[in-house]
Amino acid sequence: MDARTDTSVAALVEDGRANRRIYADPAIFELEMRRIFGRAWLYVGHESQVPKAGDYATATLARQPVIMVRGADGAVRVLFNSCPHRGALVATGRGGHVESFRCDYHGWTFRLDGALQSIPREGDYAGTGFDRACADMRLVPRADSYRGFVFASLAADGPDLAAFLGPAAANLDNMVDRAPDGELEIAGGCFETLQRNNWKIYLENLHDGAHAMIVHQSSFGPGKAAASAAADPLTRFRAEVVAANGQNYEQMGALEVTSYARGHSDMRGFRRAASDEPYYLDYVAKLEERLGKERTEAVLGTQRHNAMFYPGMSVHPVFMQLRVIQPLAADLTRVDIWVLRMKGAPAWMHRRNVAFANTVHSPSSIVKADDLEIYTRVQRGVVAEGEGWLDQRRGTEAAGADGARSTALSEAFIRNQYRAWRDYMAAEA
Amino acid sequence: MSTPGRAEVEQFLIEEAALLDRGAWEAWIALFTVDGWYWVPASPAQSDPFDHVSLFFENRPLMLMRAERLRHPRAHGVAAPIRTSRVVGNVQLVGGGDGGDILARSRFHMTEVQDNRQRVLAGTCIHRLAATDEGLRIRVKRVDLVNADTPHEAMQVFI
Repeated sequence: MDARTDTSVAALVEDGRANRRIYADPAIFELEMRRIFGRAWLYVGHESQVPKAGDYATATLARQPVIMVRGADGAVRVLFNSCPHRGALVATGRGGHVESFRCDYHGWTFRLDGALQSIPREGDYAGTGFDRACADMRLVPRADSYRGFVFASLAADGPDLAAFLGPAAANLDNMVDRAPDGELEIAGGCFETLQRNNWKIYLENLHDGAHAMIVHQSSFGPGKAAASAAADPLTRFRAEVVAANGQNYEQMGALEVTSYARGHSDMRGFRRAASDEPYYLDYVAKLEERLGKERTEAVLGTQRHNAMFYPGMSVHPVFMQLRVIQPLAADLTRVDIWVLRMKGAPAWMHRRNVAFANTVHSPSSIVKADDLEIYTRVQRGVVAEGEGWLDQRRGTEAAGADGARSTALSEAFIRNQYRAWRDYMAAEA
Repeated sequence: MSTPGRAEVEQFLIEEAALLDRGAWEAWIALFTVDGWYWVPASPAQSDPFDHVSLFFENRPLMLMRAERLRHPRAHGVAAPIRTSRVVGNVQLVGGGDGGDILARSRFHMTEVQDNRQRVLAGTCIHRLAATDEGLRIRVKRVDLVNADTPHEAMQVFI
């Protein structure tokens, strides 16, 4: 088949079921990279990683290396991290600060906006037809930021960032609004993790309230025991985070999930976020100074467990976690987990959120260990032909003002992801 | 007890590794003081376990929570058992810590096998040890993996 024009692959997803092939077929994976990850707005980084002109951070979008850099004019740009001469990476490592970029192969230099600055012995190009104007580092076709979160799209055309995010952007608003100074910054490192499963298997689990009591049986019991034995607040918090997966079907069935256009969705929180610890009361008081009592109650009362921005980013607004999902192969996915620090909040708020990351997102998480095992089992099992299709019909949904309402026991958000999948995959690219 | 020398500390570290290789989690946790900590930083030269994420950062209640989960009959992640083999070496006493504690630095190699897959973890351990009437006890065990900040798959057992 001609991969660019063949759109029959969209028929592998119907409303309520998906063909097993979409999880394991390398040809379909390549198409997904082009048609979904090659078009959607993907999270690149946070503006706080590049506070000054010349600061840069490297990232990967749909397996392509890019650089997020703040220019001399203060604007944040996203460049392909590849020298226009012979293609070498121009920036290496995770990030840093430069006056200008220099390729370490033949010494070409580029300004912070990617424009070619100098070529050693440029005169050797005289009379060769070489066009200096075509030798800049290339900008990724589109880049934009939403309240400090920087996104880019590898496609020149498509909805703008605000339209892409749609009503789901309220989750990013809520994160920023929670900061007493009204600003967030990346702080406290990053977990880089690998999963031996297709990226979609991971996304299908994000609001799945029907798996917790089965998959996490090994940890929520020990979590409850540890919570009652804990002598200090941070240990109790971590144990309670683990124990919270022990909620029953009735409790999970009461958790609202909302599905938005383009595959996005969010889920109401089920973990206790408030605390009577002094640092938390201090935090609320600081937030009230900026927002007033009523607005503070509204901001803190908006509790989402997580929000999914299809296909590549998920946040836990309450605990300031940000996950970046990078498919590497049909059966291999990288997930990076960052923690955002609320500026102006007492130090222990960030420490609590770091503790949340350590408990839930660390490679050593006793919660995640069982999720990862199940994802692997799905990946290994799905290649069995069976009757060829996997079901997604559990639970109903009802139309709401900005999205479809369902619960954590419904697979409505999965069906919503696959409507987006079909829309992306049905268009040539 | 009298202040132990390098040979006694090395013997202690070898026995500690043997408990981990046997999966004797509770016996291993009992080597820690009541207020002891187990820490595996997520970055090289990480100075702080509170404001920066860690691969492991656990006190005794949290270590016991992990041990209990590893024993749980429905711990799917260890349905295929994890087997490990550790080698401990290059043991050095690197000066006394606070209040007469012993600070020991050692190197380790740990081979881990699960479900036909094998991986090697290696690095440096710093043990802050207290000499008590019951023998040496761990106040802090810090494990600096050589690949602390590279992408990782699940780490279910203590290193």
